[in-house]
Amino acid sequence: MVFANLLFLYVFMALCFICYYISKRTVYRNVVLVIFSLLFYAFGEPVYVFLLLFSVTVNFLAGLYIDKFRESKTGFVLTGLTLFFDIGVLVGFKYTGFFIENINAVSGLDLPVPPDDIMPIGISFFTFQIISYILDCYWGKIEVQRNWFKLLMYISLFPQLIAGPIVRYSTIQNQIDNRTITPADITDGIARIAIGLGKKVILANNLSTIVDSLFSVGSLGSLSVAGTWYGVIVYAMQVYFDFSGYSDIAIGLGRMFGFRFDENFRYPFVSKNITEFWQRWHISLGSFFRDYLLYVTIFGKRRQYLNLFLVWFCTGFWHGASWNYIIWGLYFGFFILIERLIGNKRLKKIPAAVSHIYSLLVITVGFGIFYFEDIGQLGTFLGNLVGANGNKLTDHISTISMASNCWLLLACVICCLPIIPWIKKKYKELPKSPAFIYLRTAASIFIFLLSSVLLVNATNNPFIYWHF
Amino acid sequence: MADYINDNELDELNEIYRQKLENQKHHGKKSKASDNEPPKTEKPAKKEKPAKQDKPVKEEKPVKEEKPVKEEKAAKDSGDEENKKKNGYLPHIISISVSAAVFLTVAVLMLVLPRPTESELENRKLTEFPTFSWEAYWSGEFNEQISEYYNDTVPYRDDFKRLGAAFRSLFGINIEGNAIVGPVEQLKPEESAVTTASTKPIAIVTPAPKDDNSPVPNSKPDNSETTAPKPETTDKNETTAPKPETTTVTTTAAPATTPAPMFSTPSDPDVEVLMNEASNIVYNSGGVLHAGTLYNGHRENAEYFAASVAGLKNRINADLYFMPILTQNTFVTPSQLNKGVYTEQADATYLSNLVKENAEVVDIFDALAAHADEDIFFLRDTHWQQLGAYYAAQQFAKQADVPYPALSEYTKKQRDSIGSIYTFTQYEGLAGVYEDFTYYIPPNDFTVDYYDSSYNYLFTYPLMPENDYSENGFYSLYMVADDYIKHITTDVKNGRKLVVLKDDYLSAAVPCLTSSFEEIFVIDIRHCDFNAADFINEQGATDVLLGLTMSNALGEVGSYIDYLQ
Repeated sequence: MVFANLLFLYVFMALCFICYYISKRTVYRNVVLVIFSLLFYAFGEPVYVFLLLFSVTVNFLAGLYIDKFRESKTGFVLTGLTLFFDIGVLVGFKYTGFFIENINAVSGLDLPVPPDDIMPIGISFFTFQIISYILDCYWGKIEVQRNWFKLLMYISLFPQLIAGPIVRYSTIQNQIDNRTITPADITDGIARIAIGLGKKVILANNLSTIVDSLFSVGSLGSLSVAGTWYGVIVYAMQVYFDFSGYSDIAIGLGRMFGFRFDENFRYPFVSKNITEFWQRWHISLGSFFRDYLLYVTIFGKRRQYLNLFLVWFCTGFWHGASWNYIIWGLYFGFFILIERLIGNKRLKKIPAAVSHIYSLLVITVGFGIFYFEDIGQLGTFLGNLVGANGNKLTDHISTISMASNCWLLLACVICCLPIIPWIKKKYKELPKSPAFIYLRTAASIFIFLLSSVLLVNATNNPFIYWHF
Repeated sequence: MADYINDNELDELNEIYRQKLENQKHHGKKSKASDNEPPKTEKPAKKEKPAKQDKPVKEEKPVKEEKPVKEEKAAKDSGDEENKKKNGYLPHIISISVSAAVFLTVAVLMLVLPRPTESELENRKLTEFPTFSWEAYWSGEFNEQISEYYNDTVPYRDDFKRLGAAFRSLFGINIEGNAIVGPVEQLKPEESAVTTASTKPIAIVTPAPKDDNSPVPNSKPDNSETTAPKPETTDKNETTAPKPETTTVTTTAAPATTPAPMFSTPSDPDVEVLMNEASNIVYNSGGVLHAGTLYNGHRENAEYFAASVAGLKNRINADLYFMPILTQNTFVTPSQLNKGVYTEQADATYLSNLVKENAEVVDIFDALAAHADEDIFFLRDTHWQQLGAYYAAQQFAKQADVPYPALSEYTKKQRDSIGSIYTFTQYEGLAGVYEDFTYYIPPNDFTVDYYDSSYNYLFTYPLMPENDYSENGFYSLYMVADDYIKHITTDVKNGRKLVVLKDDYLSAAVPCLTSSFEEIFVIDIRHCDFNAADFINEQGATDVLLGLTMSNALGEVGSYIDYLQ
């Protein structure tokens, strides 16, 4: 089930809220959340819900024993085995086909390739949550969870189960048993859900129509230089609104249930360099790799660049079992390496305008790499960007598309800018004024209803990160 | 404002809070995180307290020397704090109530209001509630279909779709000047007749056969004799295109064929034209939204095309078939919208008469007319559905005497699609208006190698890559893209090798021929950089199928066949 779906919004979510708020005690509310989370997952993956339960059980038991033998070698071995299991499940489902395809291509063998659709939804996200739990247990950063049901709730919590954010156990461990919900939490949550839904349905879905028409297989070759740039810029915004919209809904739902999830996006397109971009884009993934891979000196302390390579290889590979994602990760890793070699002080001396243009160019081209899984098409795309394919500077279709979507594009650009934080900073009292609260509620209802109208018969609008 | 407290009051409240903490410590109470320490979960709650209440600066001030605090004052202040908190929450509570009321009202209405079963707007039956089976449940299909049913059959869904389209129309400005052009009479053929002036030099010197036997439908005067271009003698060498080698060989004695029963789509006096831009048209007919490209053919290139076909025939060792492809202009579009001097079918007959000496004509009119009441064409796209292609290819298979599987042997699938006219025009009324794209997966085994336009191997890929499907570019489901040349090797063992020379349309027919030929080469004549005649011979092809729409055959695309020799 996806969030941008009328069945989810008006049946599942409605029932869930009713049951949740009828239950007064936290323990009952936890039961409601677990039941609805499993229903949520089982709706799309009736079989794999058992995999989820099995994985939680294994990690629950592992956590207990790791905690018990933390100081000994047994704890180390147990941690290793548990990680091997978790990563093994992820690799088994997500990357087997990719590996076999490449083995076949290199060796000329004809090994059977498993179909793409066997991957359990959201496996990349909940596996990473489990890994963070196990490693934090081993490092003693958290208290081990001794209640299987509560660990299940942490892993399966439906707002973040499918597509993140990757919530650390440490973030919500206190909230599992003790959480308060104020009326302000609920209105904040409503507003956040409406914003997320609007980003997805009003902005991202309509941007995707533009991208599809420009980048569909047949038309890419005839696309002009301007048309290709236009297409990839639109795609970058589409991914941003799609994914950050999902995160907004997840955070909003969490807020209404009394949980505080960390932010996952902070206006990434205003970054002045690529390092900053990754501190603003998919923050929970970046911080995961930072804390669990970059600072773990696998290659030795002096080989930080190899660690950097590993982190960005994994970042790319995590997104999908395809070479373009690996290239995409290493592409950003390359620029981060360059920035690290240049140094922060020197980077800050670069004029702001130049920095912004540099980062936007790198980010935008990066999204092109992200889009084209077919390497041949990726080559065409890159050639198109610089006119190397003999393509024209402009083309009719792109021009018409730009004109007929100009207001939408303008709205998207505005929504990419941190205008709301700026207003909140400038007028600190504004968010607390009753007028603002009423206005925000009216806007939320309007966005919610408008999104609902646009969702009628929109049967094919999954979130992009759903696949990951 | 009454809802807020000033700094002094805040200091006092902080004092009381600290005092309480101290007292609890003195009483030796075990400090629980959930009770005493402000847990993370409470921070946002504080944030929402009335203004200034949670100023961190104030909270971090060093604790002043403790003043004697009277319990009564503390209790009184505590009560005030509660009241203020309640007052501060009042706007939130009102907001929640209003939001919940709206949300629940919509949720209940969606449950209790009758759900439509058909869409007038899209002229289709809506998704039905699925039948339960364990197999469907465990595969996830059952739940997915419930979701589809719920989303597709929203009460008043057509109105909501229109509302959505109206909203999308606000996204930008239309630089093409798409406008509602009002009554259909403005589009009468005589007012929009195409010029007969040839824009392309013609090499043919042989008089064109008359098409007296291909009367123009709709009671238009058959003015072929008067308007058909006289043979021109301009040498094609003057242009960039090479002269066909056998330009005068074949078309001299093209006898008139038995006229096909002329078919005319009924005129629709109530048709409402919503947009007419160049040849792209959007109209309402019978309460259904249609969009398409009007036929705008002209015959002056017919002889040149026929000569090219003759040239091709003379150079190859295979049987050559020519399929003049008929579109929705022949079967769907209300007759009075026809812009051309001739109808598509009249031109097809005319061209067939010219070509048939050198190529066996595959007349698909009867094959399609027999199924005109089925969904053989899209409503809002220029292509035919694969069902139409299936019937057309069936006629070809019959003439070529090759096996042809029944439709029931294919795996039928359906996806949503947005017609190409929306992509071409961005006409707001088509935004988000989906229709079913139905395709059929062939029953047999085969592999498909893809080559570039110079026939350099690129990759091996599925014939119908479903994973690459997109609602807008749905026709690329058929062999990815036109600019690749494909070589299909099937499990059929009959020694027959087919080369398909095509434009867009035959893409949908190729999957219908995988059970008929041992090998199939698919070449879009717009994307071929080598001598196709030599290629056909080198590959040992036994059959060549040339299939083009009339617009293409009689337009610029038709001349490409000449360049390929």
